[in-house]
Amino acid sequence: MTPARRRTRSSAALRVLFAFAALIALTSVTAVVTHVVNTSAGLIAIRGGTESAATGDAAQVLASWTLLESMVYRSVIERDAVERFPDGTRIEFRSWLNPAFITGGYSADPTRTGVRGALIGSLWLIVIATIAAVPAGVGAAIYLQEFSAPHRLHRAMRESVHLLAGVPSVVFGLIGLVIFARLLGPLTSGAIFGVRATRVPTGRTIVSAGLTVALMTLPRIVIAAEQAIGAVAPRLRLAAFSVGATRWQVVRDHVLPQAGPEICAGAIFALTRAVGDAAAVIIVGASTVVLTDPSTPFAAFTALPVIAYQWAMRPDPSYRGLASAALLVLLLVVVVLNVAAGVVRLRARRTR
Amino acid sequence: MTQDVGVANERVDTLSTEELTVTYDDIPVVSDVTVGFARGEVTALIGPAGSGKTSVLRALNRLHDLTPIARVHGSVRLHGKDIYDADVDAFEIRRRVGMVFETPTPFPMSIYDNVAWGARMHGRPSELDAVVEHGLRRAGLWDEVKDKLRQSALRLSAGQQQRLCIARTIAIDPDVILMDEVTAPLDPISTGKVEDLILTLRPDYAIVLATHNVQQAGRLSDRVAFFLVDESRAGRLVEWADTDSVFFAPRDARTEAYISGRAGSDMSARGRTG
Repeated sequence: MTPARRRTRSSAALRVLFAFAALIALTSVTAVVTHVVNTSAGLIAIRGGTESAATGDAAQVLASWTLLESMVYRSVIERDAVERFPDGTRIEFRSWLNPAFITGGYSADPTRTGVRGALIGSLWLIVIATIAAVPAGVGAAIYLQEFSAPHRLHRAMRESVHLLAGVPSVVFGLIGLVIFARLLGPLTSGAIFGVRATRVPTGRTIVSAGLTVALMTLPRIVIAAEQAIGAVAPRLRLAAFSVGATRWQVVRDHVLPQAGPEICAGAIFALTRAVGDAAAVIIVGASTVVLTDPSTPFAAFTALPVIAYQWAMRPDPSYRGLASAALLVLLLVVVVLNVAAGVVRLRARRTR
Repeated sequence: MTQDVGVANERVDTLSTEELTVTYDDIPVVSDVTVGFARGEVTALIGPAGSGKTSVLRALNRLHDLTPIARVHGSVRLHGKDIYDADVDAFEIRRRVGMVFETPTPFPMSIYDNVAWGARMHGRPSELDAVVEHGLRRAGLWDEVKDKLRQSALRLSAGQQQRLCIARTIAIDPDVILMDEVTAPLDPISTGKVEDLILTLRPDYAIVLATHNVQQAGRLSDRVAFFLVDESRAGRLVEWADTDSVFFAPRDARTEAYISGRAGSDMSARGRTG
């Protein structure tokens, strides 16, 4: 066999392998979508919905349909419900995921509870993690790429960053508990700033959780930023140096503007991963039930994945619908962030 | 400019090297180069690919500092002062020894900012407009771009971009301008413009022009330094003399062979394969 022929054969084998991998990826995407439309986040029939809200009695959930069924067979469902529950005038159809669910506060009644507190908690986490992790991560990447000479310590630093990116989030949760909640407790509980900790005596607050998420996100941001900075054309750097620029001037005026959009997109992707993670946040101290919305970073809090997890664990089938609805809200946040990252990247590519 | 003392028969080198050797990972790529460049002269560095022309150029403005595996041995003196001395600021050296590269590399900014960016770091902000205009005029680009200074430099043609890079270098007011194959990617008309530009710049700067175009060296240069790869695969300076004597009375047989085009490709092939 000639070498050329062997190459074609091995490349054919590779192509099959890659096609197989792509098929698996496609299948998993389909599986996720199927699962989402088959969650019990669809319509529910409620007896005494609005009525009971006035009287204070708990409403009764009669039946629940999946998202797919609710979307496709709505008329069938309604007809079916009228047959199954003859006193149809008192039946109210509602989706688990509705505007009131997103903007509503906590209630012990599953038909009236909402995820506002958890949503605000998750947004707080994103903000704090962004403030803490992005400057540090980009700074580290700039140092590793532009300033540090490739000696042994440099390689050790780079390898450790990659190692960190693979550490499970539970471990980060424990680190966050020990360092941010316990060790820096006076700081993260807000006691030092004169904040009266009413319900949270320790540092198990949004700040602690946000910093833990930041820690978790940091290695991914460093890696993304390093790649973005490394992709800036070396000849651009040489040209800038050749008019007498210092390293910092080159970084500030050429490297960062060029790499900025990619860094931004990478950071958003990294944050997206972290914001969907429940384990670390639970360990640091997300509460099950938060009656008041977190208004300061020193408040007790919960987050979307946490509340979804809590609800999914309850025996009452109504809560399964709630858990699905909360997960859909989380997915929505994730999709919005990802689209934002994509837009940043695309616009940068177009202007270049 | 303090170099006006250069009297007719007595060359005073603005920039000179002595036994300059550049190594990558301790392997020399060019060895023992002793050569000088004077204001008012164009010196062409010629030789086949891989003979160390670019490595020499980059040693002249300490660009090798940015490549961790590169080391420079020997001395490079600017106005008599070794630029590799510990107390010398490499960034200041690069301002006084400007460089233009083979591929036109305008910054992804406006035409104005391209010229102003370097100048802004070194000069007074109030004079910036004048510096930019002066740079563009000297580069013969002013009339073509004066109405679109705010436009992105990336929209200029390759030849215009290269002249913009030269304008950018002029704007930092260097003593020496290094040019690394600056016409290689350009079409003949753009090449002609850049060559004319080099001749108009000659009186005010020491210009070092690396080129593998022998005819271009003949057209533009006052002096020629010819490099060739030796048996150890390191580039060496074979001959350094006035252009006329290199072209018409080369001392070395290898120079003659290269100039007359008889051995260029052959030698470069040997250089690559060792």
